[in-house]
Amino acid sequence: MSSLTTHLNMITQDRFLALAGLMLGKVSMPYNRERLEAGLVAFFNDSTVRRNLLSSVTAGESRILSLLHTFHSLSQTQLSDLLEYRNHKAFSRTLDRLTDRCLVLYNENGDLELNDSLDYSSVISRAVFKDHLASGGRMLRLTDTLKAFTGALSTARPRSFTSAENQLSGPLHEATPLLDACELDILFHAFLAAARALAVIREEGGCLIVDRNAAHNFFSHGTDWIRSALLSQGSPTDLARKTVSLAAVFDLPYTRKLAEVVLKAPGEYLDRMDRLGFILQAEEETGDESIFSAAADMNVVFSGSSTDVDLFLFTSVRTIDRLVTLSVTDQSVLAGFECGLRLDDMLRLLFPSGERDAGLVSRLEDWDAKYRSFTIIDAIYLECEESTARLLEAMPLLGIHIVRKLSPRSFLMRRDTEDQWRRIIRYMGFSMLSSTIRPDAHRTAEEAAPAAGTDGDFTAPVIPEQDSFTEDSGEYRKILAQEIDRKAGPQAAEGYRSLLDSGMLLSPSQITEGRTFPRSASVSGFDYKGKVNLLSSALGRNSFYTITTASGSGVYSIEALEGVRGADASVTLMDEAGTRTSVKVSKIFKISEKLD
Amino acid sequence: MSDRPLVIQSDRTLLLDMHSPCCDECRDAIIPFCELVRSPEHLHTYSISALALWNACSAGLDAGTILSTLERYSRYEIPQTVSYFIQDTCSRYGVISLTPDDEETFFVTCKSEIYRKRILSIPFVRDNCLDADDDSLRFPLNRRGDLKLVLISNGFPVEDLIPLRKGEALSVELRTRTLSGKDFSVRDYQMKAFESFWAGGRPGGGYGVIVLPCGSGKTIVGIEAIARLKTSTLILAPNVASVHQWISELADKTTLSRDEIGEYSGECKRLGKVTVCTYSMLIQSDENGEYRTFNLMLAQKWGFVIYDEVHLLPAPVFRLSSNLQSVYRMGLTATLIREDGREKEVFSLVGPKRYDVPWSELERKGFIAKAYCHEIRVSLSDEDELDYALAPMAKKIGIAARNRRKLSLVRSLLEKHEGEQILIIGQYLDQLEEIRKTFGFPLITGSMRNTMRDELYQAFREGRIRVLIVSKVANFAIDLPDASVAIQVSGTFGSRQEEAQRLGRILRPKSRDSHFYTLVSRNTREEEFSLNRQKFLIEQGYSYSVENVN
Repeated sequence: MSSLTTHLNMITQDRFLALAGLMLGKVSMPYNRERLEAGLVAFFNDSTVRRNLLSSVTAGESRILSLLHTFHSLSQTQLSDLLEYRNHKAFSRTLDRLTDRCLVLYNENGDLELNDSLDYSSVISRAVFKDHLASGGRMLRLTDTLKAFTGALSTARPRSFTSAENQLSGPLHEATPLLDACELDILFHAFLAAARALAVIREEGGCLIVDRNAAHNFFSHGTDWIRSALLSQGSPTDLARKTVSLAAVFDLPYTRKLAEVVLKAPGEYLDRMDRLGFILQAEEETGDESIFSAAADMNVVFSGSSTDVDLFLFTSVRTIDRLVTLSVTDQSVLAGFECGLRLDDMLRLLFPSGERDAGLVSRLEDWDAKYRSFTIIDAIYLECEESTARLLEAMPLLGIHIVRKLSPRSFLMRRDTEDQWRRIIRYMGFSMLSSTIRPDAHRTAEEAAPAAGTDGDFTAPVIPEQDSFTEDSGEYRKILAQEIDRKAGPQAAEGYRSLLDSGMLLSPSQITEGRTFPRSASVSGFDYKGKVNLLSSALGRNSFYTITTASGSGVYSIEALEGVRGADASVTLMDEAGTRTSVKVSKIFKISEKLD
Repeated sequence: MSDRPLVIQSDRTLLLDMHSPCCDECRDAIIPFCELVRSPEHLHTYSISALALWNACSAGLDAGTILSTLERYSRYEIPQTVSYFIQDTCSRYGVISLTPDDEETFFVTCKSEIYRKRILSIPFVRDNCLDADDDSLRFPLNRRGDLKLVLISNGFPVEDLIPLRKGEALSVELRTRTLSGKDFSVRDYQMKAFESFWAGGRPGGGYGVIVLPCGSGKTIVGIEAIARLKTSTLILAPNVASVHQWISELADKTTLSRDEIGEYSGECKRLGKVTVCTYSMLIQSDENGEYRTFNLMLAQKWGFVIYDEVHLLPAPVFRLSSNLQSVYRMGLTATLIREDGREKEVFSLVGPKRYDVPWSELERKGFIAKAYCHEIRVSLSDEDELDYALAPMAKKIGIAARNRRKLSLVRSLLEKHEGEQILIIGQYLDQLEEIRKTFGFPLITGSMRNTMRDELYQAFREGRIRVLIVSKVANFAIDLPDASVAIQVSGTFGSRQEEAQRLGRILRPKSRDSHFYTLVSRNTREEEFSLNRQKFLIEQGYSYSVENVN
């Protein structure tokens, strides 16, 4: 069966009759389908008809024909996606015109293909990719751009993949003058999807982390593999929709990968694409290695592209262009250390020739020393009797769970094995193990403590020296209590004692003169002014306040008063039946004068 | 291709490979239409801005010439975006021009009606336009500077065809042997700087800013200009000490007599054919709010104005500058950084940057001293540590800067450089006073009388005083040729300009290398400020060694 006959069998009876009427003249009823089919086949085989059919092809139709010529067959959806038609009606009308003229035929799968009895050479062209071809052969620096993405993600540590796009697309756009904003978005989106799927980036501890080994693995492959990887990770529909744009972003050799991965096109079609010129050789990205400079101005500049991805993990990208410019900053170096890079690695990458810039080396050594001067451990603080502590320490099974012994009666325990060491301790006979006190339990008290000083001044607490920290806590409490008596006034002392009781007072430096604490206040009834006055005086302020209660009623929202957030105040409400309910005040607002 | 030294990026930055054999030639070729951004050891960065292109156009260059220059030196093809920018920007030059009318007014002429309408939509233009016909708009001459500023900030480059006015004639020549008996000649780069400014006397030349490192002899460029222009000259300088230095240099190196050189400062008010005046005098007002000195200077028929340390130009003096658009004017500076971000206004009023040479270049050629920069970190003393921890953020930097342990560092540096001329520079007077009490060296602050200051500077120059303690009064324009060591004990937050200027105090070429020490309190915010302060010098190719001491 010829493709034309198949097509005629695939279309609906109404369309078949309309087509016959259009091409062969009025169809008399009852009609003979076989005769009409034969008539149509003969009609479309007529040389004059064929010539005229092709001479009337419009530019829009040519785009469809060219794509079908390239990919042999496409579904209507694929075709629509490839052409990025926003107006589906217009697309359908164009396609109908083509199928009505049998320039495009339905095959037995319902996909579209060209009428093999016609010679389309005069109407197909690379014009289908006209806009994008203009960018063919341009400088792209794909792998460096992707490495820059990796570095930017490593430094920024966004909380999610969505926030990564929002947070980084602005700075990355500035750094990638070779890409327009749309191209950058497409590329970044595709990279995030691929990097996520290949575990180059993973979510850990509430943020995105770059896995250095996975990143190495990713970039160890050739450019074609990387392009292919980028495309194959996204959803096929999305990818198909953006095919043309992607082809432009990745430059044209990618189109072969596109066909392989997304459209599953076999080799013969790729050959056709070759012949049509859809596959062009992009400019070699390897470039020359003649320039590589890391200087005292903290900038790294290079012209090649074979640079290790590690270089991007401790630098901040400035420009990806003919020359790539990176800058070394304290934050980028911190991100590098966090990724597992060591000072030696950085120096090796910055000075491949061995000749080192003293200023830059000096700065890196300084940051390295600073980085190593802190150790922050995510662990659980365990405190017990001294005799118990000796027992715990002597227990071999427990050894691997102890991060550090802090004092004769306290340890830092591993957080990730909490269940295991709890079981071990219980097994030792300590059945009354309290639950772990989480920081959330102290939040109210923390928020209740106003910042010291005024107008945003902030006094950083002095971290106790190791000696102080390991002191007996009873003794230390005594010292703190004495400090409170010595420094704080009678009103503030109460607040400090409350902090001490809740374990939030850790250093004498936290106790400063002149610090005030909000007090609890209780008011009753619906006497609004009374409540305001009571709260006002209870909180030691002269301004008036209005109250938003947790019950949701009586919201007098005016102006949020900063500095008393989380004040430990409550109001007592009484309903019509006389039932009293005490509720916490969640917010305090300042009344503006015009409402007073 | 690979031996070509220039790489042109799409964002219009140009990177010049300093290891290329023709890098010097390339730099000379591109400098008329580019601005030097940074000059570290291997790759110098230049940028092409609209202003730089318009300035190039005003000096007679066009897009074709600029592009062919770039093609000649570019290692790779010029990015299309850059070519387009150059062509488009240059094509806009000359569509608006200023032409003379009479002594009081001038015309603004637009080449097309659309430009005429667009500039008339700017309120300042509408408000100041005296009258308009189909061909041109007429403005009062005293609005010339402001108008140029407004038009440029709105994206309309102005071709200023109003001839610069010559002031009163001045008979002056340079001496080949100075009064003090030394051979004297203008150095090659100083001559190039003047030629860039002068532009062969063509329209578009005769105004602009010269950027040269501290200690490289910017004053000589100004003196060369005075000798070549031979017209009455006003020199504006930042302080009395520099006024005296100008007068001394003019008397020493030109045929001008002391009588012909006037001084207008707090100490002396005498006009001469060449007058040196402080910026502060200009902005002093009397009880009626009248700027007497300002008006007096405006009333003189100056033919040439020199703005020394032009980056310090006080905002009120901008008005004077805008009224002095019809005379030759030259700005001199080492650091084109203004903390108020008004660099562009300086360029618009005084003129574009005409010459800029990397510091490292002059150091290599021996015109400024080779200087080593050291950042020495010391922990806070025990008592300072507690104060620092408890202090509000705003006060922390002051505590860190006055760290008592810096004193012992100063002592060890003084011992290390015994026999050398040393400056101890600081921000906080109590800290400097403590140093004075400890070591007994003289201290110069803003409250000291100028005559006393001059005496101390002179004693230091003559070697009678080996160590001088100075507050920020010595940040600028103080010429102390033999100082080879500077110890900075504290500074103004993260000021890059101050850091560079302080280094500049020890850059006069001498037989020994110079050392610049900045003392920083370890693990405090001072480290962060220090890093920022160093940026300008690092971009100029200096590098700091960091040393932690206990």
